[in-house]
Amino acid sequence: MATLTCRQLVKTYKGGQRAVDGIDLTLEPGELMVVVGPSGCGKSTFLRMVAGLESISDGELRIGGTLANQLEPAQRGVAMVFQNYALYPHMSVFDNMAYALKLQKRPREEITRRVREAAALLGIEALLERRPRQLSGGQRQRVAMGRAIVREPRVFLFDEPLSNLDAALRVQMRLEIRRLQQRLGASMLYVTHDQVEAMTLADRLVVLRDGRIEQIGTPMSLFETPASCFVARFIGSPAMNLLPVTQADGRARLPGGLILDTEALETEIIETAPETKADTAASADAAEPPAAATLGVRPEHLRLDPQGEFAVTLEMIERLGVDALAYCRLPGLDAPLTARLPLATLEAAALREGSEIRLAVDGPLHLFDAEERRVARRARLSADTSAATSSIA
Amino acid sequence: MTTFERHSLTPWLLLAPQLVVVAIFFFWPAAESLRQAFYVQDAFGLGERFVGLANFQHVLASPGYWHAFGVTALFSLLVAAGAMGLALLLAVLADRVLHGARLYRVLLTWPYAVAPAVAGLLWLFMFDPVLGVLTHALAAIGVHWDAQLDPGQALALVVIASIWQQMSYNFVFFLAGLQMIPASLLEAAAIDGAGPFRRFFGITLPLLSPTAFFLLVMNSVYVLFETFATIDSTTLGGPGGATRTLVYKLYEDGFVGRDLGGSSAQSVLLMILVGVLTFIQFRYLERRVAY
Ligand SMILES: Nc1ncnc2c1ncn2[C@@H]1O[C@H](COP(=O)(O)OP(=O)(O)O)[C@@H](O)[C@H]1O
Ligand SMILES: [Mg+2]
Repeated sequence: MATLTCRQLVKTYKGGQRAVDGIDLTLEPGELMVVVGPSGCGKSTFLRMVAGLESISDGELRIGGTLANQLEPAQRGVAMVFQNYALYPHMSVFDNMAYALKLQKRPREEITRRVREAAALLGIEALLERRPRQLSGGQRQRVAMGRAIVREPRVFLFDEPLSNLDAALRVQMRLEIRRLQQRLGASMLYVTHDQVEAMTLADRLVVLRDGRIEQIGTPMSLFETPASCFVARFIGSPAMNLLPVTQADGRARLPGGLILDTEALETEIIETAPETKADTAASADAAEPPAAATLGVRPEHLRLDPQGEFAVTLEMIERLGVDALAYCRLPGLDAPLTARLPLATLEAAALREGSEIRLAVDGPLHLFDAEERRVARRARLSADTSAATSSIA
Repeated sequence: MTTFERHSLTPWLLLAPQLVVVAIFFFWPAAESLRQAFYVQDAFGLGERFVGLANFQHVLASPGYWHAFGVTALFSLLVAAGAMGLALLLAVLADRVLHGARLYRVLLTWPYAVAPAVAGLLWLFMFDPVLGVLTHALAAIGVHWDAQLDPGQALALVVIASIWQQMSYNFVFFLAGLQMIPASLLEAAAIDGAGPFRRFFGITLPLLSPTAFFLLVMNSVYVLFETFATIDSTTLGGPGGATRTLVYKLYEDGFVGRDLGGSSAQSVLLMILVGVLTFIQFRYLERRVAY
């Protein structure tokens, strides 16, 4: 039985704004699902609806099989970790963690045992007598997680729990959350705007845009087959290069005088929200998938090659250590074309800002239609020979 | 740093007018009163004689002083409890208001801008035995109201007027205190299983305790000194001394009874009382509210 099921969940705020606009998803037991999206896309609203802190305007929320729409937060069997930790400042760490159990009127020995177990799991036994203000950010974060763990909830909810930590601590706590989740076999719904955090933590990833699900899938499936330009831009760092495709002389043309040849694929299965899944299926069934309007290629899938299709000017180099990001100008394209290249090859070729270089595609190409949806086609690039072709014609 | 040191005269020049005012109208009279507490004056204020602690002995031995002390204690308790309780209730309600919140806040803050004497008069009119709106309302439910005759009603009148005044001040602080409490704390408590009352008494109230402590100190001082105008414009300490607080008795003895020595001794005692109260509050209460 699923831990949590949402069916067409809608939140309309007073004033008519639909912050959450029909979310369908299922959280399996022991799964860590990350909801990711830009600021203001409705992540917090969605999580708060699950927690019972916001009313549900429409749709159905089931937790552990029972309808939870009208349940009080405390009755839902959820625990939440807030971005600002929300520790009770006037209580010791022990009392913070014990608060829920005390309210449940559990026996004193049981409370002590459960708090100590959770504290041991998080390595905060030495802090139990302290007040929250006597703790560092990372320690507060642990206490907030401890408070959630003590309650043994059916679902853990996290709302950007790492945003207030510095970069190093963020990585450390990320690993810790993952370790805990696997150790406890806990079901977690985790909200973040940070796509790196999302990629590294998630069993499954939900990309949210304007209150709607853009795509659901494993991090790698989203990386490899983004269902839309939005997902393509959002998942992966640096972001995927997106090039406009224009139709001229009966051919698909790209900036930089390139020609795009495509051939329809049999089917391509992308897990998205149900209604968009239907769309994808329909377009796959149709004899001819829609024409491509945008071509995507990841910076990792471009390499330096004297025979490469893209003739570009190197505008800027960002050295990351082993690799470097090369920002290049492609005639006819406003945004820079980004390539992730091994630093050694750049240095060996003695390239610097201003050099004329050629880049070849060394990986999959992604095609999107005029509605920015993924197109089920295989693509091939070639240099423009149309001058010759048209002269023959 | 050096720039500050070099111009060390400028701040004093800028402060000078204020300091002069404070010196003339506060330190000088205070010092004078301290001196006079050890002297007796003749009835015309022409001569005086050093008497040591005789003024204090006389004051502390008089039943009238202890009566005023009792009235003050009761009065303080009623006003502090009433003004803080009411202010907290209104602040909690105003904190929940979503629409027109600003208007409520302004309206609830207004009474503080009214001078105590005017506030006293307002309530005196409303409770006037013949013309008062509230007197008629009370008569309709069978209560005969005449604050000029009934000691209990006189005390009630000044207590109500003082609460009404002080409530606004407390309200502003309580509301600010409430708005400082992050919503996520109460949400976390709700998820932990605390209902609205538990959240209020278990989270909100403890977090407001520093504010409440500050207000308790401020209200005590207010009741001991500031209510003079309220009493003077309404009951004049009567009937039968029912509303004669320490500060009002001090005024009566000194300016009506012309007993400057005795009155000065009382003012010194009052200052000591305020000091002791503040000390006790800081010493014992603050320890319990700090988190
Ligand atoms: N209490 C509220 N009343 C009205 N609109 C709100 C409220 N809370 C959030 N919103 C709006 O709903 C949208 C989604 O907000 P939120 O869920 O906080 O986004 P996220 O967490 O993804 O940044 C935003 O446009 C925001 O302005
Ligand atoms: Mg948010």
